[in-house]
Amino acid sequence: MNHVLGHRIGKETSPPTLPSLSTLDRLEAEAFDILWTTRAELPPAGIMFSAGKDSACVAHLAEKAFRTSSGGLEFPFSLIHYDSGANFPEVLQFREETARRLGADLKVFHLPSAAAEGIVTAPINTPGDPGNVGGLVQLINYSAQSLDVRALIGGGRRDEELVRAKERIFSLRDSAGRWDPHAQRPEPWALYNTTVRAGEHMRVFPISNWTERNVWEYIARENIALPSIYYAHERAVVQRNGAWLAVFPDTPIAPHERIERRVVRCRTVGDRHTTGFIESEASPPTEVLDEILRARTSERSGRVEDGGSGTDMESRKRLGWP
Amino acid sequence: MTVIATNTRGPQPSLSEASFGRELIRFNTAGSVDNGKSTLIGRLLYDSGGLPEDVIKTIAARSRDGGKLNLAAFTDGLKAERERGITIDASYRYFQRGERDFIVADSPGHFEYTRNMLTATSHSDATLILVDAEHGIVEQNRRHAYLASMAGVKNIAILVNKLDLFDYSRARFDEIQGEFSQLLEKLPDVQLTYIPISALNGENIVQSSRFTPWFEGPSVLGYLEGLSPERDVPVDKVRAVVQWIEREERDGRREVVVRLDQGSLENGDRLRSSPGDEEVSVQELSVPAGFVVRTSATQARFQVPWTTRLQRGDILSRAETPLSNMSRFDARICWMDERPLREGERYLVRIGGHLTEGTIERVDQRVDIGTYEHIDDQRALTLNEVGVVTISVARPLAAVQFGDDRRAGALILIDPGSGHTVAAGGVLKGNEA
Repeated sequence: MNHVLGHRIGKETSPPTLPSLSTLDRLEAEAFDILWTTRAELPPAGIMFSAGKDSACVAHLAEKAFRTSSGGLEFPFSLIHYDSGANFPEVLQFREETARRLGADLKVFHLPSAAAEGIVTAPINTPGDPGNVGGLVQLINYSAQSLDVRALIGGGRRDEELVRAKERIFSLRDSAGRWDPHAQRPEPWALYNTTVRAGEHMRVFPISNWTERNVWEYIARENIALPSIYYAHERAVVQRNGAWLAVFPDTPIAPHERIERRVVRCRTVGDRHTTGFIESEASPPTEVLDEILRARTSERSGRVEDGGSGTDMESRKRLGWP
Repeated sequence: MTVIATNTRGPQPSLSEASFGRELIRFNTAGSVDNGKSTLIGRLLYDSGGLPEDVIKTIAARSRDGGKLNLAAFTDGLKAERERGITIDASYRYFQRGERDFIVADSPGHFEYTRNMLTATSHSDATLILVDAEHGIVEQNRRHAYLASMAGVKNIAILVNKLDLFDYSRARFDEIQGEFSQLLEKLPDVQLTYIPISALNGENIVQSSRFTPWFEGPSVLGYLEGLSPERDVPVDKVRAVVQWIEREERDGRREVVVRLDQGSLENGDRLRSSPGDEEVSVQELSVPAGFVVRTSATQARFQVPWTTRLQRGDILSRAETPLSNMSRFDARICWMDERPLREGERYLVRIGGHLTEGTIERVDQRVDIGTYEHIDDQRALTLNEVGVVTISVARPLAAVQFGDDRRAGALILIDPGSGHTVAAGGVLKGNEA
């Protein structure tokens, strides 16, 4: 089927028709359209690259949309990483590998350094505390201003959360990075309004309409590389708020808590102090997919920050959260 | 509105469902306030077994009635919506069933959010309009059916809801169907389906209800499962939109990337661009692995001479059947901004892949979307009003009518000062450039 050209022969009755696209093909086509529009109308733009599965998908889509048939690639976006200073080493390694492979310009904004330099003034939580919301919001807004980008492309998906479900694909931020949920621009027929005025920037979400399942199907279909912690591995963990947390030398352990070794994997990747692991033997993407199909909790349930901080998504997003 | 959900979760998904060949159906719900739109979506999500337990827990905690599930709360995500108990903005939700993926937009019922309704509808393969059996057909029902048709939706299902209050009376259902169909017949090219339901009690939502033995049609889910995701498009037509032109030169050629909206391509095909009026021959065609070049919305790349004048947004069609250009056109638009339309002022016009400057020369007619009458009234359109206008553009564009191609023939107007999207609609008729 590779590079087969021309008509697929339809029924003898006229006019002949062609088969419709699969879900993944339709979602991919929508994402390409968004990325081409961003490249053409909002340069310069960067991908908010957390090195998690969603941003890895976005980077792959951009690669596929812009790689020429002769194999050339002028990767059109910078990769921007907001580094909490508490990343999994596997994630940092993946970040470097991806930037090198794509030939992309990697921009790292390191939260503790930004706090030390006074760029970030919000209190930075100590390790083990959930969130760092205020600081990261300041850092993201600072990055948009200092890189002078007109668009920040993110891997946010509408199925993650009820407020995200309301957000536009091209979502305007004011000069302070704020989002106004009640002044969103309509996007009928995928006709995007890419107008940004001085100081404003756009947040662009090419995989808005993908579910967690679609993302894993796509990872499996396209053979997209991910940080190894997405797949089953054994590690030292401690049970906290119903999730398994990774244990590092600097992880505070309460007297009643017990460190165990378990075979686990994570569903979303964030700060290593707050990312919850689930017990899982799933290793190749198809096994992960199978596990997701049987899962009874949403992927964000593993994140301690959502349950505990009291800072809900709408308030965060209004401030500039991606 | 707070309702109690009975748990009728679907069976565990099986591995075979993980195939990559599933199809996607997009639909939206519409109806007046309290017609039960959000409840219906909650019911579909809940009864099809697609809701994660922690989400159900969060919603249960939020439901005001002592932990009983408020099905509407699965979609109303904004604080203002929960506080006021209404839907303000469209909300997108996702569920799977068998070989189908569904994206549903829950759109607002209030007149003041008509623009959000039009937007939600514009992505849909089908629109579900809820009619409250108690109140009968109301103004908003008529408006929403009009907007769905205006948005290019070919499948409209009228769900006669709260029929439990009439003991699932066939007479009441027939009465509403009879009344509505008289008006809806005026909408061109629309497939209408009527279904008696109770969203609250889950009757005729997932399975056929035992309370309506007289009804032979499908349940709501059965209806959705029976839809064909995209209209079949003849292959002899080509509609390829130029997305990107590579800057890299290779042997005097460069690569053009197109989004193939209709038809198929093969090497040697002769195409003509609009509005640039350049003839190109498809050479060294390349498509993503595993694809034949086929009906809609996928990318293809091919080589054109280095000196090409093709631009992003140009539309390529078969050289024998080229598109004409237009510099002025009639459009039917919905006004979406607080500030009324201003004749003679410049707006940015996005039409298909093009972004150009344009002027609304005049308002020709206003449309009463409650009666579908076109009224000779040339005063400026205000928020949520629909009308027919004449627009002229700074440079010629491919003349595509919305009725032929809802992707290439749709447009939005942007106020360059505020940056707002002020109107959306479709081209009715182009005038030669």
